[in-house]
Amino acid sequence: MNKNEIKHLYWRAGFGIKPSQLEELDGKSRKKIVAGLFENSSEYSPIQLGKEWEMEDYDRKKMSKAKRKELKKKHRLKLVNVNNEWLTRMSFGKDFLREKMTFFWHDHFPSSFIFVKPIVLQNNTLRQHALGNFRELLHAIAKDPLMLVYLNNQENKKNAPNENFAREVMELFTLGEGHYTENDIKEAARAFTGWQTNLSLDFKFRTELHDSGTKTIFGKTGKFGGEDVINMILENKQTARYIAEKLYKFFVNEQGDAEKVEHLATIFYDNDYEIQPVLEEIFLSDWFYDAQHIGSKIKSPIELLAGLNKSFDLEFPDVKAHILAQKILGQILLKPPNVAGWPSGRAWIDSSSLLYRMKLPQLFLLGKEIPIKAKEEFDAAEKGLFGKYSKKDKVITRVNWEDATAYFAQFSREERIQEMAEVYWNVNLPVAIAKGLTNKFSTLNDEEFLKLGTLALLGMPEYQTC
Amino acid sequence: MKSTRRAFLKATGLATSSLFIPNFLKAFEMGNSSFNGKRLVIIQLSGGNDGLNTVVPFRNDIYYRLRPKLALGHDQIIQLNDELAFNKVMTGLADIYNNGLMTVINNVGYPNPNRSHFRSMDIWQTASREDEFLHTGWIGRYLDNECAGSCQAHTALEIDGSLSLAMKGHEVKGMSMENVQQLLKMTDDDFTLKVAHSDHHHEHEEVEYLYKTLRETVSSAEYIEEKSKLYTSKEAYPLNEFGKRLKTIAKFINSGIDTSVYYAGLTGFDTHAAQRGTQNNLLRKFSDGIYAFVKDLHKNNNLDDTLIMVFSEFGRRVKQNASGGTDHGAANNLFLIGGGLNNPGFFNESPNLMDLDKGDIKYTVDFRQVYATLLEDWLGSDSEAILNERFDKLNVIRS
Repeated sequence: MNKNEIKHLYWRAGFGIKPSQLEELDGKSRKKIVAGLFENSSEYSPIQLGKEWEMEDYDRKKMSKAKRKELKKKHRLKLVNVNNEWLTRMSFGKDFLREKMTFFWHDHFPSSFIFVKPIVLQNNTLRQHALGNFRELLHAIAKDPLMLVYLNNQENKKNAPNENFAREVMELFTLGEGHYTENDIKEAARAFTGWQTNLSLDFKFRTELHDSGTKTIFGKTGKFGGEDVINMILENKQTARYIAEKLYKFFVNEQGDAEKVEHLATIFYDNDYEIQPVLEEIFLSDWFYDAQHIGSKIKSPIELLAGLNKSFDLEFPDVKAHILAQKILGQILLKPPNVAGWPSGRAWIDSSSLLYRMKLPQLFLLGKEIPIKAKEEFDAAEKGLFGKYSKKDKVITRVNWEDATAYFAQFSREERIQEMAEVYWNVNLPVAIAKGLTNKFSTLNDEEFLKLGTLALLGMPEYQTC
Repeated sequence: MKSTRRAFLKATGLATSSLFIPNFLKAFEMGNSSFNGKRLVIIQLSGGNDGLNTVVPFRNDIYYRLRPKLALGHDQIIQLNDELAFNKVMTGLADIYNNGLMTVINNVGYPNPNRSHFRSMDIWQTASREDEFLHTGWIGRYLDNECAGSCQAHTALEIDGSLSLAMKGHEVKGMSMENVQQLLKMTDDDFTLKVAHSDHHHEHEEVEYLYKTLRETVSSAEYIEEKSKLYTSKEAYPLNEFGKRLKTIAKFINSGIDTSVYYAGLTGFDTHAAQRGTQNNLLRKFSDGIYAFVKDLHKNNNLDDTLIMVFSEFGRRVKQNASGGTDHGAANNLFLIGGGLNNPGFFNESPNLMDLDKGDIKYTVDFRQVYATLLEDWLGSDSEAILNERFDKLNVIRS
């Protein structure tokens, strides 16, 4: 593989690549490099929470309002740390492919809550199955405490069904709109009655709340339970198609390609929903490396932030700095906007978010203030979270230039800007601009030339795509 | 134009001079094709404003019974008719009301009300059904519908650091800024300007899209600065952030900037505890700010072409809670303020406190009816294309 292809693969399968690594992989075979990605992600290590975050003590009835308020605050602050831990894994972990897929599933099965334990539990479930089997993942998520609460299945009872869970499973998680009827949802909701969780966050099947009667779903009639519904959904190849299309848009191009999607869906379905074969097919194919796909995606805020971290080994003394950037850019990890997940592509870009994105490298690498404030929180309970951060606070980070310094030293001054673009951009740098920048910085010493040259490239719109 | 920028414009920089087109000049020449001379100013009260202590049903026994500590007594209100009154802190708003410049629509909401701030605000901002999730806002879709590639970025302008979902369409988005100085700090440096004006070919559509957004932003920033820099308001605004935001909007309107929709917010209304002082302070801020704004527009003969809409994502529970506050509720009152109102005053019946939904006021007017009315009767647009559904309009705009 050449450097362009490696960079493309590493941006899509992960969050970018450092110059030294790019050099190390240059010229190696596609097969070997792709195999390396999966190898480095073969192990699953969950995010760990201490015992003090168990849920049993949080019984609302036993707690005063003041205590509950205090507890919520404690959890919100912990959530900031977990957010940071995940972002750190994405940025620096060798298993970035697993983290990227966890991120994909987090957007596919989005949920949020005030308590940290169920959030981490779900996040670990997504991580565990991230590269495994979608059938197992779907069954696990359907019994996941956070999802059961988030989609109101706690309130889904015999004689008083709540359809929220059944509806979203079909509409957003598997089949997609138009591939089921309203009656299918009604009947499926009955099958999920009695699926609940408790304060210990165990899945509980409450027989007394379950409707064990006959249901007709997808034209079949029987005394179906929740597991049956999930298996029937998976039997329909439309589910494979729906997920394959999302994977294609996430990894390859926002503009779908019906033929390629069908091809991937068939691989997915024929492998009984194993995820890895589909990803391998994408990463090993020739078409994945077509010029039309390289640099064709607008980075999501998380990809942008993790990418900056990775390139410069950024370390933040105060983790809130990162959260603030996520907030201003509109994507806070573990806090998706609703059950439909985040919008993508051009939806990230407007006048102020683009200017903020272009100035973000200056903020993180030079500590240069950006005159944009986050919107004020309108939930009274959320206020304290960003309260300490005013626009006057500078984000002072630790920045590592060593890797870049060593790498770019091998090129002459005339080549250097072009080579920087080869590392930091996923699109080509016009020769005129390379020359313009080289001239502009000609009087600087090597160190300053590297820094200002890099920041110039990172501050241009091209850096926003991958 | 500042001399530094003039110097820059002369310099060729990254692009050659022949390729260089000063975009702000184009903005002056082209004008804004979608601008029909009417301006809509949307004020978002975030956190869920307690409508019952804003517009007070001071003859209603249930109100006093359910709010023994919170209800406003007869010495804490400004009576408007024999049923309803404003909270006493809203003297400016009462003056506006008494001058026939305000319509209060009671009981505005939507079916199956959602009591989460985020979800309910999304519903209001996207104008979605309560069970659908849209990634675009109603003003954004108004831009989509009106613009077709011909609008300037400032056609819809939010006075805030970042852009709300309400302002994002599929193709077109509004623009946000705290004020002219803040915007210039973001755009008025050599590097940003050079990048924005460099005219090299972009191999990818997405990169071209980014450049287009940047060019439009810089062009609108130049236009707004040029057009508004000579105007100074003589009106005294409250010195808080909300007052400053309204002052910025008035400056733009009075300088003749061709923006159709302005969006600004005031937050902090989530009064679960010790509501009285907090809400009164906020309402005072709100009323004083709006009062200065309305006077400013009136003196400049711009009030007849300006309509202000004030909303909150939900009202609050009728019954007070144990902490001297109120919890999240449902339907709420919504205000229209301006010189173009038909039959100003109270549009409809007072909230019915005898018939509540889980302790909350039931809606009788769908908020999308208000949107449809503003889109058609005020902005002259096609509400069905924007709201994806036809809603009965309200007869509130003078034809």
